[in-house]
Amino acid sequence: MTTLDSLLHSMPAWLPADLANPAFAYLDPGTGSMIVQLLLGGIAGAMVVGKLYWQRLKSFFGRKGTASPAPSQDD
Amino acid sequence: MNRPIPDPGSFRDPNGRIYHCGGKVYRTITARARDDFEFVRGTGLIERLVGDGRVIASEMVLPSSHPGVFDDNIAHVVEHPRLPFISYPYEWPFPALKAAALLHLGIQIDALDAGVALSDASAFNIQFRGARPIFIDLLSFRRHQDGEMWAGHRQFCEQFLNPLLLRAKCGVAHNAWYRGTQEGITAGDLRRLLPWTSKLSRNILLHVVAQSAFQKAPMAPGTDGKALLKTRFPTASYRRMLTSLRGWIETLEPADTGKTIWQDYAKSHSYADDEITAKQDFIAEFAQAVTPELMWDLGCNTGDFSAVALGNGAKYAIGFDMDQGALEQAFARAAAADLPFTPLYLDGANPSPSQGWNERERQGLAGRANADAVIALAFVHHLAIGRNIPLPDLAAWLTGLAPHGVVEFVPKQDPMVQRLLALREDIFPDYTVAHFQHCLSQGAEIIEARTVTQSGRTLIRFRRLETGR
Repeated sequence: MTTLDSLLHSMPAWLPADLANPAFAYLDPGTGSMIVQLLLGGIAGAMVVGKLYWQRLKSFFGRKGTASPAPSQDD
Repeated sequence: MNRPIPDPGSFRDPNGRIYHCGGKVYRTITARARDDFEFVRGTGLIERLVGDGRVIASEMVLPSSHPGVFDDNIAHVVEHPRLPFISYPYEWPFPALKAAALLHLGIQIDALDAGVALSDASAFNIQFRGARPIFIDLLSFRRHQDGEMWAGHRQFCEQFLNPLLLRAKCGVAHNAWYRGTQEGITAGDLRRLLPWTSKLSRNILLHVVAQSAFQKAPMAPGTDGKALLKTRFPTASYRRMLTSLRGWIETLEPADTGKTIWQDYAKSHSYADDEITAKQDFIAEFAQAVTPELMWDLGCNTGDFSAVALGNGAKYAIGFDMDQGALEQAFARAAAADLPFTPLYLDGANPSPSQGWNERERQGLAGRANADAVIALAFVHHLAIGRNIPLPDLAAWLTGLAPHGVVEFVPKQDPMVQRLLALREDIFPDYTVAHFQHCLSQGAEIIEARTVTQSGRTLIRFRRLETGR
């Protein structure tokens, strides 16, 4: 595992994971919108996005790893 | 007290709903929303927003004073003032949708400072008084927890931003598409249409291209969107996102697609100044005699005659037209003079239908026909000759809309009708003022008919016969 890989995999331990997000009670915010917000939210958020797509990127360049589709409301 | 009737369009949010009862509008707040509601009230935010006219007023009503009339588990009931007319975003011209978008963002920015967020970004939560947008959904206000994301961002893009971009970047009005989907325009759809040059903009890249791409992009195995929900979105970033969107949307204008047919009609029309004065006098006399609380102006163009009626006793006017250029000027007029006049998009031959869930979520135009006067100037020939609608049907429709009205009949010899007939066969042998008056008299009493132009344009004032209705 590369250094970046291990860093990304260790992230949930130091990111706050206890947000209840009650505002999402009845509205599906969409993964696209959430990722845009994470990218706007600084380095920590961008690294979460990196973690989610790292495997995908690796498989794109011919390494092991299969990806599962994100829930999509868009299409 | 009559039993309150739940509004068929108010069901999405389990925290409460709208009821109608005896001409009054009530909103319930269920027990599950009690804490949020009381927190928001305690911040004083709503009071300030009501004070500057951005949020609709609400008065607490004791549920105990209406025992058993609302559903169970009600924590609070408030009464809202009734608005003159409910309109939908697919009926708004571009500047109205833009004003509504800016209102939504402005409220969110002020709310964040008070520790409050909006739980959604539905454009249907905004209504208009004149050209001023007003936010009507009290239950959208929730306590904001530090680190929470903007739940309504995607909905804001679909219901406000993308329809505005469709017009600003592609030169296409949002109304027909929006009416079809009712949920606005997705980033994915808009992305396929935007010219590539517009995609060089950071804002479009982020809110349209990236949002659409990430919506579809597969994530790492074993992960899903729930991981995202747990990630912290700093409040400072949230506020920056809102202010940046507001600054951008303020600059959006309709793409220059050339002048529309009717936007200069008030200046370039085919009749003389004294003839237009005669029309204005007729409308002024009508408004003085009827003093309507609410008047509909079909084919309002830039709002000249609504303005005359409002200056002569009419209290509120809703204008309808299908020319975007004329509507934009009408909206600018209403905004500049703060007139109680709301111009809306309408194709008279294809009015907004009842639609949405169970075909009752959004009311059609007929279901909202609450005017006590209607004027239809230079309108009938467009439907009768332009769209082949039979005169008896048109007369019945017009007299059905309001108990008092003025209709202009433009005869065949008028240059505007000649233009409509220029490239087609005249299949309208019955298109005469006498026949039209006969049609109107089936459902109404003709109070006066006055010819106001040399070409023979006639203004007909009617009062609906109430027998048998």
